[in-house]
Amino acid sequence: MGERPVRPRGAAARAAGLASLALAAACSDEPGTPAPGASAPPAAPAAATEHGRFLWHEHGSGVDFVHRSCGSGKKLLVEINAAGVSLLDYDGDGDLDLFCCQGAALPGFDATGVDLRDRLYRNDGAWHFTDVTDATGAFDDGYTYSAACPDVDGDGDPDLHLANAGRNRWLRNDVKQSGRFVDATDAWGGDAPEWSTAAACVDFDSDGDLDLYVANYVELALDHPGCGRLQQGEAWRIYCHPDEFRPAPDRLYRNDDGRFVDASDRLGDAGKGGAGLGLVPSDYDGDGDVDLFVANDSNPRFLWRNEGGFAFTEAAGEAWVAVDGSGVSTAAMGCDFGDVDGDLDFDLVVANLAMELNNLHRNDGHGRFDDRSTASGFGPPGLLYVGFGCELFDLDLDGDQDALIANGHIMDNVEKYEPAQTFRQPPLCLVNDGRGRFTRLAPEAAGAYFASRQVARGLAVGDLDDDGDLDAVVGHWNGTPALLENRTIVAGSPAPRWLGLKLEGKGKNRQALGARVTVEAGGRTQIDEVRGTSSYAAFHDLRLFFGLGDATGAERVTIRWPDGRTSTHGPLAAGRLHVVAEP
Amino acid sequence: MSPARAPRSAGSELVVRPIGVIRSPFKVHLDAPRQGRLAPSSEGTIELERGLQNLLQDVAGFSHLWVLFWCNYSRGWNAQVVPPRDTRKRGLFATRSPDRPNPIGLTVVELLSVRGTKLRVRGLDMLDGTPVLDLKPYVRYADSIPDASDGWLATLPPEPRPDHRDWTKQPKKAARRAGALLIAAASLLPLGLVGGCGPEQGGARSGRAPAITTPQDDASLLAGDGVLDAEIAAPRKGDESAATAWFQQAVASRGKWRTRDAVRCFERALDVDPAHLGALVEYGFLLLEPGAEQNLGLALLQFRRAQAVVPGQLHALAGEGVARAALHDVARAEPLLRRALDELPEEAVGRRAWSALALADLCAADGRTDEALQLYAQVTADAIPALQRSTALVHVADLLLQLDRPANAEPALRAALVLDPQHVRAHYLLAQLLAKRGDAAAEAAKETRIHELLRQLLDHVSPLYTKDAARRTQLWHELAAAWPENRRLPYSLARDQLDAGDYAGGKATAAELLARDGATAEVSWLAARAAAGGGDLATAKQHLDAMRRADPNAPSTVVRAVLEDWRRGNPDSVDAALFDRTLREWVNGQ
Repeated sequence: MGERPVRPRGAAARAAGLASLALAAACSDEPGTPAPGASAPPAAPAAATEHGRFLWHEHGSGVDFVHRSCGSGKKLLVEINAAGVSLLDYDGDGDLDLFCCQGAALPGFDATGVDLRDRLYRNDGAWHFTDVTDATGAFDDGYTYSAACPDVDGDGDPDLHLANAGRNRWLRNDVKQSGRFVDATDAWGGDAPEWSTAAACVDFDSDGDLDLYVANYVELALDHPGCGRLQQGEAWRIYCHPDEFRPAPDRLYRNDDGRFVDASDRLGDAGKGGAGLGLVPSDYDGDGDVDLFVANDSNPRFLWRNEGGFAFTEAAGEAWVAVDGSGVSTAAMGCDFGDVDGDLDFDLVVANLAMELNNLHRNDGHGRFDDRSTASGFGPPGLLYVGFGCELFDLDLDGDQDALIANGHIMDNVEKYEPAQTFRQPPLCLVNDGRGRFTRLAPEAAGAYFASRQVARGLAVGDLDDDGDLDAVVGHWNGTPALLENRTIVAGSPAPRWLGLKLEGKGKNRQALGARVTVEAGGRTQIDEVRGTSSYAAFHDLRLFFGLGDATGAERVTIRWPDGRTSTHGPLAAGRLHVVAEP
Repeated sequence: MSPARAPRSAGSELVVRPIGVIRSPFKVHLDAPRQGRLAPSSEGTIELERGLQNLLQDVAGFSHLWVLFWCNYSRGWNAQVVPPRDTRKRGLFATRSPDRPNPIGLTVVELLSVRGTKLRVRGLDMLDGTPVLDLKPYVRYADSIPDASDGWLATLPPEPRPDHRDWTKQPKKAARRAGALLIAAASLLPLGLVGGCGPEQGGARSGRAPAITTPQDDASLLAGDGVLDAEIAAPRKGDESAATAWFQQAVASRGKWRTRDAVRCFERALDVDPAHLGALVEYGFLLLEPGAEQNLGLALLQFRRAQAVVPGQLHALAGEGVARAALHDVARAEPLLRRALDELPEEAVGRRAWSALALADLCAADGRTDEALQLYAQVTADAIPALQRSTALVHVADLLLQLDRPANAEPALRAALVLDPQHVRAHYLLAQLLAKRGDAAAEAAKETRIHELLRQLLDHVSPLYTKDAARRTQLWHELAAAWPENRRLPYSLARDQLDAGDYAGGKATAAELLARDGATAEVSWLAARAAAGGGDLATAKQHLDAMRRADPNAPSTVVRAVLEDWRRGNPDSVDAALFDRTLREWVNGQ
């Protein structure tokens, strides 16, 4: 996505400029209404080690991937937004491996001697990884923005969908048989030719197999004359704003007996003109089927309400999430759903451009959202930053949804245009007080990475060391990904109680994508969903982790499976990962 | 060794210690009168240092005092200068310019009262914060010499000439001269040297203005969070008189004509004199305003530079507080804003409104609801300028909605829309409010539609990128259809068309406006631009003349704007030489 270094918003800038701070005061005076049955959140556990909450494995992990934007000085828009990261257990050994998305040579780029492959790293444990790209063939030659890891063929291992600027690709996981990933693009279809940025696999029609939604950005123009105050010289050249280009329509595919058939006409005209960058599936309205939110760049967002029968209504407007609370179509990148206020519905967070607050839209439980970006404290810390990866998860295992936001500007010469901005920006670690109010964790407490400045893009979350707390990987533009070990649970130290769930679905949806989980523990109820795709340019751990506070386990776990059936389990003991198969 | 016994030599220095400070309503030198006697009603205070009260015994019986002060804002001096009402250079010691080898100022003030170490006085011409060196009683037998001669002052014509520093008081006669800037005309430099943005004054003849250097070239800005934390060095002093000419044009352009021209003139002023306090402050506040030119970081930079020039300059301090608040630098913003509200004079209505609004926003975000509401109430009073008022109304409406008081929020939103009919957020909030009310479905739908179209229009505005002009025109038409009672929409459409180079479209829209609203200044200006862009200079000139008849105070930048449209619309037939020649002819009224 491009940048407007000044704010050409006219009357709307009256809202966005000075008004961005002026939202609810009342919510900070009174606690959010707790959900029935919920008790006050437990006290947060003590902060982790001298390293802070997250230990940055900056060296020695074996992850030597360097993302390449492959620019030649023309500042083509396609160069500036990529660096996706994905977590998947490609070899089925129970731990999460890492896939890093790579760029591809653009006109004028000298690729001589440059390794432009995507890379797959096997997790060997203890924060060491081995490059298995050559062995597995897990790469393609496209300009890859993100990789989704659904088990499309239902054989028990994750495949790869590469969202490229250009033809997308399917790589079928055949590692158990041949040791390699096999190109299945022609066989499976769904190879949208547009500039794709993200994809989500969801069983939209509850027929047991995974369908596909692809967010597309804008037309891929490699001969644009360029933007910026060029009359002052090349040093003022900037990446163009996406408004310079025609948006590319998103694509919807229905899985028809193993082949993805284009069903984009189901989106109608509403699906055009988005310029999608991030997306997240969720049953936001609690009606039993999975809906989908798309974060669009400088255009109104999409909220595809699933009406059943593979029919969709674009409901962002009526749900009040099409624009932010100022009425502005933000430059939205990363997004996620999570129950931030404990009222048992999924609230929405969106990471936006600098000088646009990151948004927190609170779900009112009736299919509508209220902008609580300022009142919740979620928005203001990110005002100066360009937020990409944005993920809600319980990082301190205290039973509520916290957030990480990966930041980095999209203008490497932004200081020329806006003295308050920098190209490299610090990430944000936001901690929830249990009532939906967020506070930025100081770098000293969050960890050294949060005192650094990066050009961050993708952000994926998962338990990479299988200790029960959720770690993170952040993709860096033209850099090496950051591996962040969550130190909430440290061997030999008192740790909060947690519960892990790995769901195994029946049929082709072996990963149980779209399943909704309700955990009741110690008088507190929490909800979550199996999604995979959310944040920006990322695929996450599909296991679910819940902080239990003082409870020694979950009294009851209710699972609504993708096909709509429900099962109840428990009690389940804390401190371990439970594998739950669909009955 | 006492000063009386200090050896006298050409290189000796003497130490002078201030005995107090002036507290004055004049914060910027352009605010201050040329001489105190020219502002007999201006009141202020002389605050002496502690312990000096005994030196004031028997002072109260005098009606007037001499005040010797140090012109601490002086930055260098020239041997010869052009005095404010004059048109030629005079030797420095034949003037009272504050920029002198020893910038000692001398003023006689009327003494109103003495209390402790504070003297209330009237007839000031000093700036706030000026150090005081000495006080002496004014005694008629020694100080009044009625038959003294006035030197070159006696050669000035009886009709007062405009003070070339005072842009607020330009006589209409001077302003009517085509392109003549509102300052003394006789020493106009060839306009080609200054690009039609005003002649230079004073002794400096710098020729073509140097290439604009970006303030962002300051390497210190690249540290940390840029301008938020970096040390800002005091800018170098330049040619203040020349910069003042640009500054005056900037202020005039800012009034209503072309914000972009104002920005350009401010930039030129600061290029010529980076330490020009007025330009730094006013440019900063312009950059705070919502719109295509808003740039909060750049605004903050101006305010910080202004305070490097004059530490504690209140307007700059207020601006810094507003900018930091908008940039969410809450910890540093709040004390600045509170100080601004405490110390800015009441007459600084706009600046106080900015400060109160920003502080209200901070309080609202921090949960200090009561204080926020009180501050918002201050900014919504009738005397507040429309920009701040409309913004405050929308903000307080939003707060009231969050407090679940829609009945109070709705009138605030509607009042905001009276002041600013195209306020996107107000339409958005009103649409939400009406939709929730249930009994206003039709109006809610209309508000939603208006918001939708305004939002789309705003999404297609940028000074750096090409705009989809056809789409914008379509959107304006759709908006006009959805919102027939908003009579400003055709003006917005016309500006859009002209800015996009659609001169045929602009001409048609201007013609509609002429038929509907008559030859007002704004309509005539739009018609002039359209005609010029279409290559019809004669018609453009007619419209320009009509514009000046309607508004004699229109700045000369409008002439340039029209000719720029001429050049843009006719690139093959209008070269630089022809452009410059035509500009000079039009500015000189030929």
